[in-house]
Amino acid sequence: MAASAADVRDILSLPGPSNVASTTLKKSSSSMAKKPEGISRELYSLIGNSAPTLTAQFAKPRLKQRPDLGKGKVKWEQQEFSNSARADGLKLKHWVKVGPDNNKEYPFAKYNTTTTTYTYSLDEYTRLLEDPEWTKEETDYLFSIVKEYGMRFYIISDRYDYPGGPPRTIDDLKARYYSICRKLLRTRPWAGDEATRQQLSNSYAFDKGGHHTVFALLILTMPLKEREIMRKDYIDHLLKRTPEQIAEEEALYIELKRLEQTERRFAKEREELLKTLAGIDSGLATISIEDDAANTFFGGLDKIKRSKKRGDTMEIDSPISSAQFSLAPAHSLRKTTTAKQVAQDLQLCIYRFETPAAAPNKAAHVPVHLRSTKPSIPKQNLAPKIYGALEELNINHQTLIMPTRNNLQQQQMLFDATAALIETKRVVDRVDQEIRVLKARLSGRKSEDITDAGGEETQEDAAVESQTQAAEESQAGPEGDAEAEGELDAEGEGEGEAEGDGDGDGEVEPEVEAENEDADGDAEMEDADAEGENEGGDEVDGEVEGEDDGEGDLDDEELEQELEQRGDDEDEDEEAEGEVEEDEGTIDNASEAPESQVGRRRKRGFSTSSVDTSGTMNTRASVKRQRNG
Amino acid sequence: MATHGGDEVSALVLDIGSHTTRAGYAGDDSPKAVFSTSYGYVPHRPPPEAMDETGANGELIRQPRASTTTYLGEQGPNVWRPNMVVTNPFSEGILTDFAPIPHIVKYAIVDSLRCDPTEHPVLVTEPTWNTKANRERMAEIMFEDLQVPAFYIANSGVLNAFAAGKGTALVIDVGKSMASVVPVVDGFVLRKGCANSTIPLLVRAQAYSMLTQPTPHREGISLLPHHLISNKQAVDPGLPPRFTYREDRASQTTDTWRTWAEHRELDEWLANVSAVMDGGWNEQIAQTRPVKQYEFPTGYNTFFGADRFLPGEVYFNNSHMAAPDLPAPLNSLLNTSLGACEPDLRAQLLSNVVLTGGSSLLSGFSERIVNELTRSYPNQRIKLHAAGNITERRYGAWLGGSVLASLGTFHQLWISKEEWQEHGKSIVGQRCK
Repeated sequence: MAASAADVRDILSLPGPSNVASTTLKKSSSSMAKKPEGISRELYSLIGNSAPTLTAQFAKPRLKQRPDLGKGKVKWEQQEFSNSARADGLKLKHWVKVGPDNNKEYPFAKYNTTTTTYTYSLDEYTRLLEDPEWTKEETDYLFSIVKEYGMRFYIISDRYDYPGGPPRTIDDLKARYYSICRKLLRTRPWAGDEATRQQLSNSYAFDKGGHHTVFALLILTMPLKEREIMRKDYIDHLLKRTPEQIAEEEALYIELKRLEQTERRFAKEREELLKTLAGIDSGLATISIEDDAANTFFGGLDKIKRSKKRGDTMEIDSPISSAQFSLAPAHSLRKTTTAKQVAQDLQLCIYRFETPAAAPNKAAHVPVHLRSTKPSIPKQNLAPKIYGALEELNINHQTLIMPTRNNLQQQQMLFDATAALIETKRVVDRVDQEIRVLKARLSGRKSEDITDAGGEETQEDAAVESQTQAAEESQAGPEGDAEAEGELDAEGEGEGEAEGDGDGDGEVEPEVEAENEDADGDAEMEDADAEGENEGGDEVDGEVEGEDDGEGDLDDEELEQELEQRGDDEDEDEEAEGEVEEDEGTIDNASEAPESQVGRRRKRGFSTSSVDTSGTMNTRASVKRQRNG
Repeated sequence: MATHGGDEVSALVLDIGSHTTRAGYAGDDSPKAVFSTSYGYVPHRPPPEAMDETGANGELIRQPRASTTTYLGEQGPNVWRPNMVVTNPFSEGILTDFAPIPHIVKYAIVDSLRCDPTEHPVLVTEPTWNTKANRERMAEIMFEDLQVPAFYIANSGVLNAFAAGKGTALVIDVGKSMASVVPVVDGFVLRKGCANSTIPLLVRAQAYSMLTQPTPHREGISLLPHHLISNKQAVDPGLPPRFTYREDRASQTTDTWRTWAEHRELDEWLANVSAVMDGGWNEQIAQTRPVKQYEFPTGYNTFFGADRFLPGEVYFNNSHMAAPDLPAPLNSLLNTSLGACEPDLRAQLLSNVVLTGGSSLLSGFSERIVNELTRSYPNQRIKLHAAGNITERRYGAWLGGSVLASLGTFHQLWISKEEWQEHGKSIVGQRCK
């Protein structure tokens, strides 16, 4: 900083510039006006009399203004105070600002809070709270200690020392304390409304499961104390795992994921292959990639380990396949899994949440839309047939007057039921056809060979059974339809009423469930039927293969083709049947029984998902082995 | 001032440990007075009148006990006196001799802090394993001998947790004579989960024998203190020392003083040279660690390589020492303590481990604790809080006391003199839970 003249004067302790300043100022103010010729204004303002340094020089040196803090001095004083949170009159001293409000309450006394604890009278105790394991005295002691330590049960159980009493665990103490609280709450008159009472009562429920939702529902039926003990047991076990066990678990988990991946890839490849070979959708039931057991076992693990990808396992749990066929099996599969799961889940304490039918994942994400703009549409290949059938039943499928969620659901169910009906019809037709063929064959063979008649008969029986099943089913089908229709009508009638919708829902729901079950039942039957049918097909194949066998070796390509044939649509099946009819003459009866087994096995390799990636390959190998053996 | 929940009532905090006694004002960040709890006295001294002149210095306190003088503080056992016996009121981490306690307390409050005890509430610490009789005796000394207006006795485990800013913690306190693991929940000690052992003593014994026993490479090292050496000459590392022993003091040096002085040298060596293998004992790795040179008071100096890790290892593993009834090492203390806690609590405790105590300052100690815990509890989140500041680590309990006694909400907990007179000893147990 450059020192001004004032500073210099200060340092040299020269007299102040007061008189000099006035004269110079006058002079400068007079000379300010005129500017010599030939000098620019800017230059003159720098070198001339009005140079800023000069004016600064004459200004009175000023110190920086002291900030005005208002009040002035603050006085502190050491004062005695008494704490209202104390029972005695202890006077401690602290420093406080002197002010008008010096006799106010000690500011920290308000933090002296106590938890409200229940007390009970002797009458209440004898009436309600008797417990063979607890004496009145010990209960009193428990309540006093709970009050003393403010419901901190870890500390209560640590300090709990009732002379002569049995050893109590923290769970014993909690169970006793909370059960008493609940009983008292329930029996005493309650001023507030029932909901808050219930809420309060719930808050006294021993282990609300708040932080362990895994347990929330499934084990709800268990006594609370036992549940808590079990939970602790699990935590204990979890803690006691050795590093090896953890490593093994980790390895198994990775292995499982790897297998799943391979399985998925394999399924995809096969699908591709079938598509390229057959040129159309294979129509095979979509294979649930994950094994049920593994799914159950690792479902919980998944949830814990990868909470981000929550939807993952759930999706696989309930595959929503595009194929008409697989819709029903998917349901049945899910049902069986849950049935199996319940036991296992109970055992492993896994609670799984019901996923909505359309699990929200990125691929299946549905943007916001008006429901009326997206009416449910039956599957494309079946649509004309379904519409035809509905026309026949005089149901208008084109307009849905009130596209509420429920109605849409109903409509969807109607379509599904109709599709099932059509499917059943088709199956019935085919079985009829088969029966005819077999009967023809039987009559033909009876004349040829009497010894083999037994085997044929059993097959025929199976076929007849399947036919009866189909017949039953076809009876069930229309019923379901009728129901669906009726419901739809009911909904339509309810439209006019303001509250009608809600009411209608309430009524409809059980019906819907029933129908669902129906549909499932249908599906199962259908499934069984399909199996039966396929077995029939296998048999047919077996015959064909038998023929091949007679000729020589069987190669994989042929097998593949056979598989395709089986996987293909009904029309081709019929073709195959036609072929059989043609080949009838060259049946190798001896190889028939084992071959049908083989066929069945191959079928299994196809429809169930085995963890073994080379499932079908193995089956093929076994086919060969059996054939050679 | 009511900021941050603090309200200073000029309370004093007194933390009497087996090694040092710490005293200071509540609200400070370190104790004002730190002196050795060990004290000296000369038995069967001639009349105390002679001592009064020297007593005016402040370092000497008149001893009402049968014509002896208690020497405390910097001028206490640290000064060689003919026939002076050095003792410690603690044995196995617990106060067993209350006779010198009034002197120690007075020395701390009156002589060191220059306070009038009748004006200040006093907060005293106690170890978790303290007995009921002991805390009542302490209250009695405070109220009857020092006439304090208010008194509180707080658990050092809880205070250590508070010093680390935690209400719930697993406190590992490794002191001079005791190592303890104390689970603290919501500011309360879980007594069933406490575990302690005298493993630090075993470590010192091991270090002592390691240094003083001759090895193939060197002779046994003498741990003579400066007080007994009149002069010495510089020698090269590893060569025998050249010093002159003070023969005039030899006959008047008591065994207890000598042991005390030697152990002080030992502590010095431990603090400077010794370390802990952070990843567990491994001879090869220990060999690769840098060596450290250390010079003893005799002038003997040498390099310590792998063997400087040996004593520290005893904290974690004493199975190689073939002796019965060895104190439990730290990891078994940890397992005992955590095993006694509710399973629910373990995760919480493991993520709030507090390491404190002067002996835990060995290099590599905290890392080793973490490693041991990780080994015992894999897949658990383990978070260790070990103060980097040496003062905080050594005086954790005092610091916690300082925090606690300066809280506005704490002042309702003091046992006042009035209450003491009204309820007697039972109030201590009722108030200080």
